[in-house]
Amino acid sequence: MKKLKVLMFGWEFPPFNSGGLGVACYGLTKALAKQGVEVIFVLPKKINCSADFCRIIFADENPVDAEKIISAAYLTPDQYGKVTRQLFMGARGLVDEVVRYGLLARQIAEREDFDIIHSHDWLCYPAGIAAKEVSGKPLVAHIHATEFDRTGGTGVNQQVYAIEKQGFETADRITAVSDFTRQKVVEYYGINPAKVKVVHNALERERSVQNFETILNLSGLKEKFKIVLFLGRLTLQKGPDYFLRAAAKVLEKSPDVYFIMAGSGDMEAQLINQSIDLGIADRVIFTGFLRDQNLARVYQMADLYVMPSVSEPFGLTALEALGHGTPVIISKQSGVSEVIKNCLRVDFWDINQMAGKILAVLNYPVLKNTLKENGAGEVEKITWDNSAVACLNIYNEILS
Amino acid sequence: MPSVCLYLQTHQPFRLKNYSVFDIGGDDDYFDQQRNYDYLARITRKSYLRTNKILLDLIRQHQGHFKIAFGLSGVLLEQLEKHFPEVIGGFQELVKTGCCEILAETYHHSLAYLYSPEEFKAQIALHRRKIKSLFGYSPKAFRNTELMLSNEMARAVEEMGYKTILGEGADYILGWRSPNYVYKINGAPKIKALLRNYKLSDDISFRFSTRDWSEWPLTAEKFAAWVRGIHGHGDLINLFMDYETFGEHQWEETGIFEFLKNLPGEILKYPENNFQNPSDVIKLYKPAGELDFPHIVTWADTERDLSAWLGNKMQQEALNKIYSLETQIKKNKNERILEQWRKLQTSDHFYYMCVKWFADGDVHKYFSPYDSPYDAFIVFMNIFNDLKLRLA
Repeated sequence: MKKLKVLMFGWEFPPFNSGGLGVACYGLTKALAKQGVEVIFVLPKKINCSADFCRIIFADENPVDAEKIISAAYLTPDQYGKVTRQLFMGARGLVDEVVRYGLLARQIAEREDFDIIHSHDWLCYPAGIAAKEVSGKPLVAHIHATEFDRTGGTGVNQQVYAIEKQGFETADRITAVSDFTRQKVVEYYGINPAKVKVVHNALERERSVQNFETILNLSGLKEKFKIVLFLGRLTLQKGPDYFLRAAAKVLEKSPDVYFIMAGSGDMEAQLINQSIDLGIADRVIFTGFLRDQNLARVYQMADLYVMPSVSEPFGLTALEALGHGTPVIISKQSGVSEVIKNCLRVDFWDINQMAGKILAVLNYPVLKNTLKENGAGEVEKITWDNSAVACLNIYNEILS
Repeated sequence: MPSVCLYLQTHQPFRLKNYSVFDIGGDDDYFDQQRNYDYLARITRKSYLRTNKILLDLIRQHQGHFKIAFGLSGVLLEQLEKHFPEVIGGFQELVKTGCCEILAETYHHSLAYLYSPEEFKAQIALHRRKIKSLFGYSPKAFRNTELMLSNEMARAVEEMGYKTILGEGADYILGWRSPNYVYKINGAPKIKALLRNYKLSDDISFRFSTRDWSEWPLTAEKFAAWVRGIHGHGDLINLFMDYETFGEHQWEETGIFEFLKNLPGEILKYPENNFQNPSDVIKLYKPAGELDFPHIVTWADTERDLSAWLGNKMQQEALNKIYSLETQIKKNKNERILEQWRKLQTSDHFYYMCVKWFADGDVHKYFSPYDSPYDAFIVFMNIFNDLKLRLA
């Protein structure tokens, strides 16, 4: 049987990832390769990454070639001028970068041989759409997070929304990382529910660990204190401010607790100030962005991982924490709560409930151990292989 | 000559408040009055009033040939007395006909037998007192929470003077033998055991409305024919189930009330059939043999064991903790604290902590007021800690 070839557009790839998107792309691509699918993975810029299970193309590697495809055959002279300016004047913001990626994608789609196109998030939708236009091949739009998740519903960027909507409308199928996200695509973008399928994320266990930084050492802390972890971008969507308020409540009852905030983001300064205002600055540690060994270390050191997201399309970190044997409290407003039962669930806005459950895990060792053991068993079964099979079924459905 | 022995178990717990760690030391009221009232109001409307009326009509219609046995937990009776005395009135009328038997049990529908012989006896005595005061009746047959039975337990119950004990007709106890006879129990020579025919009982309580069941729809006529089929190789058919089967587990729309109305008539159509209560049955039939219950057998799940109540560490921890307070509580002589402690022993609290249902389907979830078994544990332990604090 002929190998199915997928032209996949991504934005980031480990080790150069800022969040779950790159991790999910890696996991899915690797598992698809195991299913006998040939993936050509496209990234917008040349970075130092490699994988033995797929061919990686960097869209900006031969920018001169790009001129060839942006020819009069496709564009009016006005458009041509605009496009070339966009291409060669350098990036002026994320939306421009995304548009530029779309233009470069044309050339790749012309050159490469493939059966289906698969694009991840709005960042790659213009690329996917362009590839579809050039090749006439079907497009799968994968949605990891909508603009509504990132912004918490206020201050939605209209340009981004328009790109997302166009991507959903042009796509032959949409794959959402959870039913939670699927509902958003249907409700907020007016997409026919029959077109949107759920492919849950999973936990990648074999990713090679390379050490880039010095190892975080928390063992001194661990001896005397309990550790509660927040890990994610320090941004509205992830609810770090609710975490700090719950932390203050916890410390009222139990003074022997440290709270670690691992991640970076636009709210960092605000959060540091908030911890001072709450009078708990001496009990909150901001580690900055962690990866690889430090990431593993911080998960393992923690007695509990809390994911208080305001809106979490999936929430891979919850699986990572469980994979490291750390029990989790997750927001009910998350996709991962569809696949994990052995966890505690909270409404992100209910600070008392969150603090109460944090205290319960810290104070009732039987609870902590049961969550840990049952959660580890459960996460074991959530594999990228299952997700890849679901994805493959969707490919076959479109192609048949 | 098969006798049908129909026994309905009626119970509702005092469900707990969503008690937070921040309530410890500041709130000594543990039970969710509103939620308990709401549950009870719904079940009273959907099940108790309707079913009691049907049962009373059936007894009158069949002029003493229809008989029925009840288990009425003390914690349920207490709630009914307060909120729905008309349901108590209905049971009183039923008992007055002389066609009903009430079984002895632990007042608090507890697992006390497993943890404290003294507390076990105390709760049975409390229940006897309650039944005596409401119905002027003294139970002679016994059934323990969740139909628990073991050799040792049968012996303890026998020593308390009970003549009959109910249990589960579990395959792994019966082996080749049939549940349709009276049995003796190894080590308890005087007491007689009646074992649930789980197949025929579950046909009504679980499968009645299951559309992909090959016997659906189940009619009274069909069921009566199955009962008659036992003629010649069985003395009795023990149909033990939750009272709430009628109208709550099986909704009115399933036709369960019509089934109940027609069942006695259809069964009594065959002259060799009759209805008998547990204490009658042991006088009518001789034991067919002796059975060995070396460990506790229950009527729950496929395992027919206690794993739904103490299968995981949270359940074991919560039970151990609550019973660890016994000596202190009894020394303390505070009636309110004693009563609260007893209500915390109700088996439902531990059932809600069961994680088996993640794999085993949704039976447990249907009955649980909690989002997850972990939440059930947290609430229970928070309350335990408050109770403990009040003793210090």
